[in-house]
This record gives sequence, structure tokens and C-alpha cells, in this order.
Amino acid sequence: MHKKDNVKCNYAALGCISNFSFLRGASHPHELIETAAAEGWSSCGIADYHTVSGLVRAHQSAMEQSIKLLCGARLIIDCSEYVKQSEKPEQKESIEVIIYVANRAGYESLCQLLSRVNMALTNIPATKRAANLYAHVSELARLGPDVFVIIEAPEVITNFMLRQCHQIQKFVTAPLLLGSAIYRDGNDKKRLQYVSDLASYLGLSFVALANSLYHHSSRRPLADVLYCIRTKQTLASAGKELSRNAERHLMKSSEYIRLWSEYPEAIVAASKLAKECTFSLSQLSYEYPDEIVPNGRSVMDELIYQTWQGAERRYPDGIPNEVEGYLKKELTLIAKLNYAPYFLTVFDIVRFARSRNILCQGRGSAANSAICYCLDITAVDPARSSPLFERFISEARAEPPDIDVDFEHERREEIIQYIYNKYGRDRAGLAASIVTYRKRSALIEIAKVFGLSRDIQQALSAQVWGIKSTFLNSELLLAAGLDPEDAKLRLILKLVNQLHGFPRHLSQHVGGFVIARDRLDFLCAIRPASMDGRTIIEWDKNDLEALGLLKVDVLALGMLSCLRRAFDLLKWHYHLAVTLSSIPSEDVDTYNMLCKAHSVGVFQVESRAQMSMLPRLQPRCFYDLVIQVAIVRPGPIQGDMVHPYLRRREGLEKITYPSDELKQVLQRTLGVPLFQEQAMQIAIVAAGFSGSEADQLRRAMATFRKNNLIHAFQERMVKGMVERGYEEEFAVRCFRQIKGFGTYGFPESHAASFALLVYASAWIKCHYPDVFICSLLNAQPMGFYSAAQLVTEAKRSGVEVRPIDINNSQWDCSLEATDHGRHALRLGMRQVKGLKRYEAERLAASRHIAYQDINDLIRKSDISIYGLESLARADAFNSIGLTSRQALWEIKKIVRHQSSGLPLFSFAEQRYKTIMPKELEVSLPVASVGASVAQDYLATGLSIKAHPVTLLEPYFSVDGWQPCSIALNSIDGKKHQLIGLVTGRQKPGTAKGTVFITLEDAHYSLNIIIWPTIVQMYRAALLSSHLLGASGRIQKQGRIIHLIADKLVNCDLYLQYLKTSELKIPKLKSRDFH
Amino acid sequence: MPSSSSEFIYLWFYDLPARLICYQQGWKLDTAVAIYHTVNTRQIICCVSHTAKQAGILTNMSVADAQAILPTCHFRSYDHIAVKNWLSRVGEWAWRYTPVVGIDLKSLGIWMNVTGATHLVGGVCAMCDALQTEFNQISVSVQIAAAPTYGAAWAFAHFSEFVGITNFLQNRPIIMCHERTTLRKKLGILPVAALRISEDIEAGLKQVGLEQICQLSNISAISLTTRFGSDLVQRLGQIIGDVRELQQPLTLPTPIIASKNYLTPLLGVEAIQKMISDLLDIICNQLAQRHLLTRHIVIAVQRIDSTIIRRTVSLSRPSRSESLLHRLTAHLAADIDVEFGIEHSWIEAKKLSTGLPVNQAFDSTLRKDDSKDTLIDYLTARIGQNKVRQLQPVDSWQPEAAQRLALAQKNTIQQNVSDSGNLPYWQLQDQTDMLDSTNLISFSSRPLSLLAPAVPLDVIALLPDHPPSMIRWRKQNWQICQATGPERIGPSWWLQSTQASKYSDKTRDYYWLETHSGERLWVYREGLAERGESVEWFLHGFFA
Repeated sequence: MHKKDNVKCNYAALGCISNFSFLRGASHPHELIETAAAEGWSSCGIADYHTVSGLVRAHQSAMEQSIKLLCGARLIIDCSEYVKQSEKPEQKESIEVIIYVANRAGYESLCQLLSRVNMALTNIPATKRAANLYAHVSELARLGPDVFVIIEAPEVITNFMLRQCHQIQKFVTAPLLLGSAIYRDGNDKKRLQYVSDLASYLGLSFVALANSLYHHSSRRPLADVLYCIRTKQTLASAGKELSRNAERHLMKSSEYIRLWSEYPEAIVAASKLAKECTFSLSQLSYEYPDEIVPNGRSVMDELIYQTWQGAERRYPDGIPNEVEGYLKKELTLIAKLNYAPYFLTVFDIVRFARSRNILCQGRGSAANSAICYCLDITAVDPARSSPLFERFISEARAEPPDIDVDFEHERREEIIQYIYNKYGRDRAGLAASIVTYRKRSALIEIAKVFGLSRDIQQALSAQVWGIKSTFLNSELLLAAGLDPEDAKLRLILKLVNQLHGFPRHLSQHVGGFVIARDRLDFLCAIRPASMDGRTIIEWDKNDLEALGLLKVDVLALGMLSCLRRAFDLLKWHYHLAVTLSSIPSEDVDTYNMLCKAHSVGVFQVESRAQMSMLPRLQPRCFYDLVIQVAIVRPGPIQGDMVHPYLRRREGLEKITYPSDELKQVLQRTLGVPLFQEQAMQIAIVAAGFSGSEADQLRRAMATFRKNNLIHAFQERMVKGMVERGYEEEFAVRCFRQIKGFGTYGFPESHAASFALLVYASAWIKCHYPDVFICSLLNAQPMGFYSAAQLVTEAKRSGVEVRPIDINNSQWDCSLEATDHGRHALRLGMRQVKGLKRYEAERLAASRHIAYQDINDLIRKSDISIYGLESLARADAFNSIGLTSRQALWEIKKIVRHQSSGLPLFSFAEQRYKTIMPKELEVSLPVASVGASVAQDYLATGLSIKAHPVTLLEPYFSVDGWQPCSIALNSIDGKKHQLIGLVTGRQKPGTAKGTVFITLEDAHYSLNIIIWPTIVQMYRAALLSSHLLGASGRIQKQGRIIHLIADKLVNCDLYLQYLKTSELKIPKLKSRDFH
Repeated sequence: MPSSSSEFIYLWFYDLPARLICYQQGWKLDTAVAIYHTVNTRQIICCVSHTAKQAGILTNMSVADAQAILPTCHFRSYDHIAVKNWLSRVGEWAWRYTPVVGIDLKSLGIWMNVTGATHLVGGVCAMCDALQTEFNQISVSVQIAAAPTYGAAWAFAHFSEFVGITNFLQNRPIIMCHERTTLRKKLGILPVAALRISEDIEAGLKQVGLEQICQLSNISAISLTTRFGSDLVQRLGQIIGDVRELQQPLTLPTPIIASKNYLTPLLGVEAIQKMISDLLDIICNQLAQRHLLTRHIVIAVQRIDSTIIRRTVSLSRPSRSESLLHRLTAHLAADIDVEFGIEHSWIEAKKLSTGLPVNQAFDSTLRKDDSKDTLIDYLTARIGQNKVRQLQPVDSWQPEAAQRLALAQKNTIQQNVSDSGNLPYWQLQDQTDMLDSTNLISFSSRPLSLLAPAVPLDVIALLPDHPPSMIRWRKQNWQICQATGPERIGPSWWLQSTQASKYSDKTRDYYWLETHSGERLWVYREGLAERGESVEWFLHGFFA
């Protein structure tokens, strides 16, 4: 948009609709604002349907463009006499009004109005909320004099209008106006005349509206498409409901004035309104809640007191000088910026968690500080890593610090309820997360609108893999039977690109709490979340950040739950009391285990990529783990930092530093920047950025759209570094890395917090594998591996695994004493599919003496038939001498007797029984091992009887296949035909189309690498097999073994040998494409 | 007990839904097609063509999985009605072999009780072969099985691979009728699913390891009944023939027909006219007695040289009005060339529907429309089918695209279904209420007919968007005294790219003009001057 018309007239574009009016507006807020600035408007009023969620983005853009943003919203008003809930929406007489706020008080009353309307929808299912979004006219009465209410004359004016205006006039005390827009439908003259007459009849002033749906006329197709998506129609069937022209764009102000030349008073009214609206979102200053300070002490004093108290607790032998320095510096800054309440809020939540014995750990930029260590928020000692002060809190911008706290995932709800109870629901709410259209969803919706059949929709969307897809590969399109040159297809793809990134609906953020001093709906409109009893505010985390609002992240982490269980088991079975901070540090055996990549189940380093990095990195101390966690990330990979680091570590490359000043920064990581902080420090030290500029740079990367800004930064940084004598290539590399960090940031503070959990889980796995696997199984679902794989892993580590049994199992998996030192793992009834938790717990609780038979079990535990059958299918009756089939045979009989519950029938039944001849003993066919293994997989998702691949070996070895553990003893470069169960398929975004598959047999899990050409050739086998055969060459580097596949075969046919006949092949779970 | 000579034939059309799609779309029969049905929002494949099956698409797979395996496969939803219609037609056709025929929609088959009918074609083998040949000729895949009971025939057809048919393409019938002794043995190796039991029972049997029918025979009926209910034991009896099974065969609807023979050949227009109206009266009587309406009348006469001449009359809406039918058939008598006279004639009423004729006295809104329908029927009867056409409105802003010609008779029927015209009068909206919500300032009226193509004009008008003050057309100057507009109409952007030549891609401004001499014109300007486009003026129509 080039600036043609620089003469700023004092004109206001009122009533613009952005794409935060979901499926109505066809432009982003910033596009509207930028266009308004370029086309000579002095202010732009965005008013979205029943929401203020787009305003922050518009506000940011308006600040950049130095144009005035009028804050407002558009409401659909139900003008019927009484509030009638039952009426269908289409029967309501509705009219739209636009509300603009003049000042802070007006803004608060608008937010409250929107909140009330939103909250009234609480009982309506989320999918139907959009259709019921009506505000009754009486709601308008509560608006104060600080807002302007504009009644909008509809495009088609009906007789209702006069009545509706009267109705609104009756309720509204705020200044009321009557507005109309120009639609170019041939009726403009008459409409304006009518509305103008109506305005003078009602005594209202007449105001000109812009009512833009999109910023440029080229968006008309998208607006039509959105209409069709909203009304679930196709373009062909929508007919005259589509737009007749492209006049709903934001036109040039001069053109607008010309069109309105007959009613200059309407233009004057608009600019007068704009002048009187002085509210700006930057006036929203955040005030901290004040509950956190006990009796009389000031907030800062309390923080200082708690910090020094904590410091003494942390360092019983005296606080190191270095740390004391940090603390003083940090406290001064906090006092200056008045952030003490924030730290105390987090401290309060953490203290509550500790009092309830809930494991928690903080991370995030501000968490990497001495204060947080002393306040027990993190466990990372500042004396051991040097925190970066600039990342802690940026002084230049009034921006809040950021601390995320992870809690045990099963007990996070307790924390959430604590926060609600402490501050009240009207003061605490969750942040929203704005769900946007991704390419695939956009494509499917648009294909539907164009009336394409399902298979073409599928064929098209199959071209989109992941977020960063190379869209429109003409070869693939041809293969799918589509003509890449087809004009309609081109049109669709163009629209898909436009729709990509549009907000679709608001969802709830995973755990970002906003806590206000006063009511939350003074700050922003709130609405019900889809989860019962939760409320969310309409802004997402970027919006909150932009406005400087405080947010406390209360997150859930499965590994913490797992560790809590492990600690409990250690205490119970091994009489060992450990906590996160008291685990013996720097244990050699633990590191040895990690170096061998035996890390199944260990936090973070259990993924395929991490596992192949472990033997190369050879972690030997805690800081190595910090690096290990941070290095397998898109940032370092895209910045090409991984290989230089590994070479230097292995001594293959000399460790050099670009300069002495950078040695200070890069020493820890052998001269290669790996962490976000380091990249920023390079910008500061080497390119001459100020601390806050560097942080701006990082943010520019993280936030959407600002492409031109990134370019400017790149130029500046590279130039700055070259001027200071660095190589240009190194500068570009550093910049690329910052770019990579932008979206997948991994700062040292995060890495350090995570590394602590890595070490803790690895230590337990190394020394107490029984405890480790047991607590992992009980914390499912979490991590990369299924229960079956974890049990296989337990067996490989020499743990005895015992089957599920009605006389021995609890709901959770448990440990049982054995003759030798290590405990045996007893599988719990939680593995049984279809069994309810309370039933299993009741069964275990009523088991004072062992159950004798099924009837005994039913009598004592009152278990449902469905639960019984689930247990029988899981083969849990072995201790009373019944096989799975026999148990089911018995249970079936009981079902019939119970189901005929009518008195007359049961009497007949009794009679019948007395004369019924005694049932003959039935000998059921005995299940083969294969059949019972398959049955186990169906009923529990795992089997400890045998591994399927072992059972099938006689069958597939005839055809020349070998189980995949053969690779262990093979040599580099040898050809093999290997077979195994598929336990994972991955197509990482950084690997350019290469697919990684994990194959498993009883002894080993092997990684298969499949290059893109092979992927295309064996697509079907790759995607659909459970049992996969892969032939190719072994690649062996030290301990790392891969198979480079050149051919893939779907070997599911062998699975049928598990069964005697054509019973359903068990669905073997694999973790696909993450 | 059924007699020992019972014989059933079952025909299983295993890929019928896929095959029907191929016929419908005109695809080759080796196209990969998979048919899905929706189960709780999941789309599950229920039928695949041979090619798709070879590629690895199986039934019970989800569409998404199948799509991954064979991206070029066509996926269509299961067309229940098409399958039912096809099976019904084939069922009626099969009456030529035996009067007791039924369709089995649930498992895509047709069954025939051929007891006592096989000797007509030379035995059950010959009948099966004949059937096989018939279906081979129209290339429909079918698995035929003959057995002494319905259950066994069904079982063998559906589980043919267990009795030696490994490849469906062999198309070989299975005949078990004459081997009653081995029947029990052959049935024994079939899976329990062949008993036509519910999925629950089947799953229950499999869970305890009972997978073949023979495994059940070792277990007492009481043990089975106490666990799986009486259905299972009943099915076991039915498949072997110990228990009788009731079936519902197709029945022929009684036709409405009136016929007459003449001892002396009938000659002369008046006589034939009389004959037609007499027969029509009988038909109308029959319709009234059975509370039926008709939409199609077939009049047939047989001349003495045995030639049969047929004439048909179609109606737009169902009726049994004598006067209407007389009027529509009035011209036919003169139309039939009787040569030396006719000796037999009959009239049949088809496309029957139940219901009462609309009593027009009650509802004034219907009368008007009815008369148009009658006119269309009359014209169609006179000129011939598919020859009467009518302009239909199309929902589009583009003036040229806002109507299309369509078959009059067909359309009136469709319209009757969709519009509110056939609502009872008490459900029609209140007239006063309608008035209240009318558009106050609407001016989107269009001329009744458009000039095609639009006529270029010379115009004097102010830029960018003022109406013309004077236009020049046919060497004549027209002063404009009044003008309204513009109504701006953009191109139909979604059609543009595909049919670029048909529609202009420029935006138009339409104006309603009135000249000093009283003409009212509809003109438009193509191209937007404010966007710097070149501008042309056209005349597009006149108002009355």
C-alpha cells in the first residue's frame, strides 16, 4: 500500500469489521489499519461482532502507523419486547448497533456488557453459541454516558426499523446516533434520504459509516467464501446471498467524501465522534492484586524479606558473594519497575503447591534468576550457571516478567481451584488462545465451498503435510488426478493462502492465568470456556504481553507426576527418601547409561533424535545435559550449530573464539552459540545492540508477520558485526539461529530446568528400573512410548513383569517383593481396556482374602458384567485356574441369568433351573500362544507372554526375513531384510521429507531412515503396516545403528498366523508423525 | 419340516455399490472405487471395487487410511436408494425363474426359492449357469450359491472361499443341493459369521474360541442358549433345515388397468374417442376406489394386423380428475392410425401415488398455479415430451445468468416439492405479517426481457459514476430527465476463471433512466472510471 494521499483530513472510518468477527471480516486488523493510514483517514474504528479480541492487534498497528484507533464493538440487538430464550434466532427481529467508547469508563462498561452477553451463553453448547449471539435491547440501558451507540441502518431497510429505533431509544441513555453506509446496490440515494429523514424525525444525529468488510477490493472472493463457510453452503447454491460487488472495501477517504457529498453533516458527525473518543488501549494500566502481602508490610519489603530468608535456607554455609550481588541487582530492578507483586504471586502459588506436596518447577526468562532460586520457584542454582540479566526483565519496555510453573499434571486442577478461590472468579481468568486456520483446514473448508467432492478434497489436503509444507507439488497433484494448471485449482489455492492464518475461534490457553486487582471484566470482555466452570478473557498471550498485563502460567507436566510416584515408591519399597534436590548428583552410572542411549522413558531425551544424539554428545556432567536438551532443537539445527559443536567436543576441531569479548559469552559452549541468551548476547557484545534492542529482535522473530522488520534487523546485526571485525558468514549464521529460536525458543534457563528433570528420571531408571517403569506406567498417557514398549523395556532391564490378576493387581501397577533384591512389577488393572477405575478399586478393596471363583468375586465386589468381561478378556483369572476363554464362557452364562430381571420371568427361570438338566462339561478349544498374545494386545495393549515378532519368526524366516535385532550384530554397510513392529513414524520438519520409522522386536528397537524418493515409492506400505519389512543397508557409527531402507513391504499378512482363523488383527499402537 | 426337495438360490452382488457408481459416472469397470458409510462421524469403507481391493483397500478401513494407501481411488458414500432400486429391478426380472423371489438389502443379495421350478430349465445346475451367464453378459460380479435351505445358500454365497472358490473373478456357482449328506460337513468349516447372527453374538463366540460352525455342534443347545440366547440355536437349525424360516418375497403391485375386446373391429374417430373415454372412466373409478392418483397414462390399441400402438400422457401433478384426463386425451383418437380397425385396447395408469386431490375450493392460491400446470400438460400432450420449455429464475446477480430455459413439465414437479404452494392454507404465512417486513426502498427491478447482446451506446455522462445526461442510439438523441443508480454488479468471480469467455470480468454500474419522450431504459457502464479503467456504455433492456 503506497501512500498516495498524504493530506490527512480529519475523517474517521467507522464500523470496520476485521477477521476477528469470525467468518465475516476478510482482512486482518493490521491490514485495515495500514490501509486506513495509507488512504488518508485520520482515524479508524474497528468494531467486531461481540468481541474486543482483535483490538490489541489493531492497537499495535495503529501505534506504528500513528493513526487513531477507535475502540468499539458491534452488537446484534434483539428488539423483541421480552427476553424469550426459546425463540429460534432467525425469528428474532434484530438490528445491529455499533458501540464506540469515549474513555476508560466507557471501555469498562462495554467490556461488562460483552461479558454479560457472552456469559449468558454458558449453558448453550459451544458449537451453537455463534448462532445465539444476541444481546437483548434492555442490556443497552446499563451503558453509561461514556460511549456512543450508533444504530446501523441495514442494507435492506424494512418496516421494522422505525419500531426498533424507538425501542432502542427507550433504553439507551448514552449518546445515540443513526448511521448508514453506501453499498452501491442502486438504492443508496433512497436509503440515505430515508435514514437522514428518520434521524431528524427521531432527533438523532446522522453519521456516515464505512462498514468495511475487507481492506482491499481484491478480498471480495474471500468474503464470499467466508459467508459460505459460515452458512454451510456452496458458491453455486448461495446465489444472491453472495455479495454483488466489491464495494465493502476500505476506500480512499477522498472518494468517500465525494460519495457522501450530499450529506456533509454525516461526515462531520463521524469526525466529531472520533474526536470525542479519547480512549486508547495503552491507558489500561495493570494493577496487581494485593492479597499476597500479610499484615502491614509493604509489597517490596515482603519480597526482600522472603528472598533473604530463602537465601539463608538455600545456602546454609553462607551466601556466595556472586549470588548476593545478583540478588541485590535484581531486587533493585524489581523495586524500580514495581514487579514485586508478580514475584510474590508466583511465590504464593508455589508455596501452596509445596504445602500440598505437589511437585512443581518454574521456568521462563524471569525464572532464571537468583531470586527465583531463593524463593524455591526453581531448582537451578545461579551459582552454577550465569543468568543473563537482560533476559530477566527488560527495563526499556514496561513489560512484565515471565515465569512458567510446571505442576504434576494430575494435580494441576488443585492449583487452579486454589487461584479461583483465593482471587474469585470475577478477578481470575484464563488467557485465550486464538485458533487460526492452518493450510489444511483452510483447504478443506474452501474445497467444500467450491463444491468439490470428498475424494478431491482429500487428494488436495493430502498434499499438505505439517505446517511448513511445500504446497502444490505439481507432480503429486498429477498423481492424484488433478490438473495443476486448472484455473479453478489456482483460484482455490490463492484463497487458501489468504485464509491461512485467519483466526477461527477462541480457545482456552493451557494455563495462563490473568489475575486483576478489580474486576477482570473492566480489563477485557470475558466469556465461558468450553470446560465447565472456567472463564477465559478474549486476549491471547501476545495481546497480554503487548499491553503489559500480568499472566501466571500454571502448566501441567506429566513427568512431575511420574517423579512424584517414583519418590513415593522408593520411600515405600526401598525406604529411601529422596526429593528433586536431594538426588545424588553427578552419578557416573547414570551418565554411563545415558551415553549408551538407554533412555526409553527418560524425560526429554527419549525421542529418536535425542537418542541418536546421546552417544555422540557423551554427557558426563549436569551441564552436558543442559546442552543435550537444548541442542536438538530447530534453532541450533537451522543455525547449523550442531556439527561444529560436536566436532569441537570430540576434539576434531580447534576451539576458537571469534574475539576475546565473545569468549566470555561462548566459553561454556566451546565457542558455538547454542542458547537463546547467547545469541542475544552476541547481538549485544558483537553487533552493538542495547540489551532491550536485542530482546526486541528476539520478539520480532517470535511474533507474526513483521517481515520487513526482520530484514532490517538482519542488516543491522550483520553490518554491526562486520564493522567490529567478525566474519560475515559467522554473522549470518548467528542471525539464522536467532531466527530459529524465535519460534522454538530454548533459553538456557529452560534447558537447565529441564535438565534437572532429565537427570532425576535417568537416575531412577538407572538404579531402580522397577520403580521407574512402574511409575511411568501409572502416569500414562505421557511421553513417547506406549505401555507395551515400556514393559518390553522393563524386561530388557531385567525386571520381572507379572500379569494382571484379580487376586494380585491394584488399579495402578505395583511392585511386589521377590527373593532377590529387585522388586517385580505387577501390572495394574488400569491396563485393562473398558474397566472403570472405581470398579477396579472396589475389587481390590474388597479382596480381604483371595477370591475363590467368579461368583465369589461378584458377590463381594459387586462388579458389573461389563467389567468382568473386560477382566476376562485381559486374562486376569489365572489365579483361580481359568483361562481367558473359560472365564468368558462362565461369565456369559451369568449375563443371561441377570439380564432377565422381570419377576415373572425370574420365577419361571427358577422353575426352569430345577428341571434343567445339569450342564455338560464343555471343552473349549485351547488358544494358541499366538492367539492369546493377540488377545492380550486387544484387551490390554500389551502382552508379557511373548513378543509377536518372536512368535512369527518361523513364518517369516521362510521368506528370507530376519528380526530387526539382527542389526545389533551386523557390520556397517551390510544388506539386510529386516522385519519388526512399527512403533513410531516421524517426519520432522527439519528433515526435508525424510521419514524415520522405529521397528521393534523382543530385543531391540531399530531406526529406519527412508529417503523421500523411497517414501513416495512405498507410501502405502509405509503408512498402513503394523508389521513392516524393510530391506536396505546397515549404517553403523560407533553405537548408533540405522537401516537405510531401499524397499518397504507391508507384512501384516504374517500377523494372521497369530490366530487360527481370520479374527481381527490387533491394532498395534504406534506414535505417528509428531 | 420342509420337504427334502427344497432348493434355494442366493445371488450375492459383492461389489454392487462400487459397480453402480462406475455405471453412473461412466467410468471403466476397472476404476478403483471405494464406497463408505458414516458410523458416528467416522467414514468407514463398506465396499470396494476389484482394483481398489488389489491395491490393498479393505472393508472396515477408514477413508483417511484408504486415501493414504491409494490416493487415486474414488471415494463415494453408500447410495442406499440406488442399490435398493437396482436390487428390486433385478428381483422383478428374476420372476421369470420362480415366483418366490426376495431381496436382501442388508447383505446385497437376491434370494430365490426355486423349489419345483428347476426342471423347467433342466435342473438347478442349469439354472445357476443360466443366471451366471446372464450376469456375465452385463458384466455384473455375482457369487451364486444353491443349497437346500435359505441359510445355507446365503452362507455359501458369502463365504465361498471356504468351499474352494479362491478367486471371485472365476465366477463359478456353488451348488450343494444334491449333496444333502455332505452339506453338514461343508457347513461345518464355515466361520460362525455364516450363521447370520448379530455382531455381538459373533464376537462373543470368537472370544471363547468358537470360530467354526462345527465347533458348535459339540456343545449342547442348552449351554449355547443360556449364554447367547435362542437366536443362535435357531439359526443353527435353520441353516441345516431343521427349523423353518419365514421370508418375505417381493409382491407384484396390482396394476390399474382397463381393457376391452371387440368382436367386430373398431373403426372411426368417434368410436375410438368413445372407447378411450369409456376406458378412462373405468380407470378413474378404480383410482377413486383405491384412493390413488396417477401421473402417467398409457393408452394402447391392438390393430387387427396385431400391431400394437401406444400413446402416453403425462401429468405435472398427480390427479384422477376425469375432466382433465379427457381433455388431455381428446386429440389422441385422430392421432391413431387404425387402418382396418382395432380388436383390443387397454389403458393403464402408472406412477401411482396415494393421497387426495387438492380441493381447489379451499385454497385460492393453488388454483392459479394449477391452471399453468394444466396448460403445460396440455401442450406437452399435444407437441410431445421434452419439447415444452419454460424460463426458470436463477439466483444470480448477473442479469444474463439470472434465468435459464428448462423442461416445463419436469420443473413444475420439482417446484411443487420445494415451494410453499402445496402447504395447506392454514400454514401459509399471514399476509399482513408479510407486508410488514417488506423492503421499504427496494429498487432492484429488472426489465422483463434483456437485449442479447447488449447494445453499445454513445453517452454523455460525468465521470466517474454519474448517470448519463444524454444518450445516442439508432442515430437519435435521447435526453434523460430522470436517472437512478448506480447498482454496481461485479463479475461472478468463481466462474470467471473457468469460463472466461462467457462472462465479462469487468464491474458494471447499472442505471434506470427515463427519457423526455417517456421511454424507460436500463443501461450500464462497464469499467470503473475511479480505478482508471476504460469505460463503455451499453443498453441492456426496456421497461414497459
